[in-house]
Amino acid sequence: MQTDLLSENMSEKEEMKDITKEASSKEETSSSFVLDIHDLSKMYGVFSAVNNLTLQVKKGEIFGFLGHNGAGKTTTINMLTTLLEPSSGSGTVAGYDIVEEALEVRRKIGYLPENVRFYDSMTAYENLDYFARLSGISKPDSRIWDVLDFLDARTYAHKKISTLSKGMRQRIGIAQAIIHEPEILFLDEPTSGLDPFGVKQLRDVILRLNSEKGITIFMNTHLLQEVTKTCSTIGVLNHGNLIYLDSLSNTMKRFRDEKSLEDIYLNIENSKEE
Amino acid sequence: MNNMLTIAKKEFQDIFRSRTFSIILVLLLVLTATSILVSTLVFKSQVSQYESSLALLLSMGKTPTEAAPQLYPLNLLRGVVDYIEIIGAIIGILLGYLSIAKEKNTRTMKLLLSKPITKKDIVFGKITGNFLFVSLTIVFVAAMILASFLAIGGISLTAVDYYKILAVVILSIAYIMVFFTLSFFLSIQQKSLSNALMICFTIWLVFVLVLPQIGDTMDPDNQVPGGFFKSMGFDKPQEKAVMAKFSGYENTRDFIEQLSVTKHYERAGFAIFGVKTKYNDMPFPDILADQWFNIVSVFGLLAAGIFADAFIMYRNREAWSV
Repeated sequence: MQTDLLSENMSEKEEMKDITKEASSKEETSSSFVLDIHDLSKMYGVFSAVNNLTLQVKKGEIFGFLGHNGAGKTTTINMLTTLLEPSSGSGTVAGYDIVEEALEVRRKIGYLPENVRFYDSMTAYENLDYFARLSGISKPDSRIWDVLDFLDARTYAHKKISTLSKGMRQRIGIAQAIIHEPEILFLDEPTSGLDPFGVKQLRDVILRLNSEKGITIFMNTHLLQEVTKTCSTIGVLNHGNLIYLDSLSNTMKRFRDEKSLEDIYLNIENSKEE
Repeated sequence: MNNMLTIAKKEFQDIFRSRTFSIILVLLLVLTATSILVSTLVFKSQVSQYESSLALLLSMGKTPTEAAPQLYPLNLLRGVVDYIEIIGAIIGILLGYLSIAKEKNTRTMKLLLSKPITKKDIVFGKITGNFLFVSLTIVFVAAMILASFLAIGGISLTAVDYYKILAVVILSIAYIMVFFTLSFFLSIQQKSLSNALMICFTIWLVFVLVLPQIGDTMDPDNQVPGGFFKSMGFDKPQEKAVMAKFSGYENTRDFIEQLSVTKHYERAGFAIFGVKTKYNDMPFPDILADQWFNIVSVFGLLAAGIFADAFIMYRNREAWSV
């Protein structure tokens, strides 16, 4: 009887220990991962756009999400930014559930969609003022100038968006995405349509955002060059399935025989398709 | 609330910067003024005709039997109601369409939906911004009416006349907003924006032009210029007695007309302005009581439209996609 009680007590203690451990690991998880998704799927009828995606992104990382056109990258970003509800699976962004706490998630993220053109009839400043207010900043003036200074775009503030170059518009796009100081920034093909100079400038901005402001970046791209120059971790998506996930340095080591990242990418895609 | 007002303010400023709307607004104002001036000239010519025939009769030593034409200034506003019926509906459709189409085409709808705001903020913000613009447009039209009366001279309005103008202003805003909510709904609901616009203009064609026209064409009194019964020398009781024999036909005609929000707006507007003679000497509250169904129909459709807009925005999970 005594033995029974003792063992019961012990098991209770162990259970308590497990719960504490679980809680502390949860705490650790929520503090170290800005993005944490499990078995996330999106179905359109019978077509599976994203299939059981499980992924974690650590705070301070620049995560490159690679894949050919139609691989499901944008659908994934749409789910993570709460624009789309997943068909199944779960996930948190900045510690908030992407379905149950969508409004909280949106407070913590910045997002720049692909090829967004903004409000043409308004100036860059007016666009930023509008989006800042919608992001919850009631007096955005000083914040706007700070962000424009950070992006070296002060001189364009009072120009109409329609008169700005694509590269400059992307910078204004990033400005609207970071004006409320988000924890994580989602960029969907940010360099799409930019000339080489524009690409380099934007790359520098992304790196500075990460190093100086400590913003975690989740970037969709199919430009492998970008990944080598900016990202710390890469994931490869193929037909909605995550087929590869590792740090860039490990990837380079693992595929040391390949001449370029492009070869590595093709190697990964081909090996999975075979 | 703040988010809704931010969106409303931006929406309002956006329309004001649009050249298309400046042109439509100026067109509506010019047509309003022209219509009042033309109606006044017609009335003045009727008066001078009456006066010359009166002088002729008196010179012949006869007693005039026909009463002098009476001026009810608000009768002169018939054309304004007609223009708002057609151009106002177009303004409503374009506003609703552009409010969504621009956001979809520039992909700013995606940005909006990724901000910490609710879909309710977006729908009601946009409706409020456009409502303010439409209200301002109609207030401009009302100001143009008063300015035209002042320019013509010799027309004095009573306090009741001002109330009547105010009533039609409110009714006109609601009427235009019915078309706004319709076009707003379709622009969200349809993946193809050009389809949305085509459906809107088909609806406009049917409900603004075709249905009221069918009703008018079927009206026996419209078969002869100046009115069939008047040309036959029938008085009102006689007209009623004749029409009683065609009640089935008349009910069908009425039903067709009632399908159109335009007709509800027109009937109420004409009654309030006294375009139909029987309302000229009727007290204003009695006119409103007589026209309650038409007035409620316009406001009811507006409420249904707002509800439908909110519903489709929540239901359509990919409201941003083109």
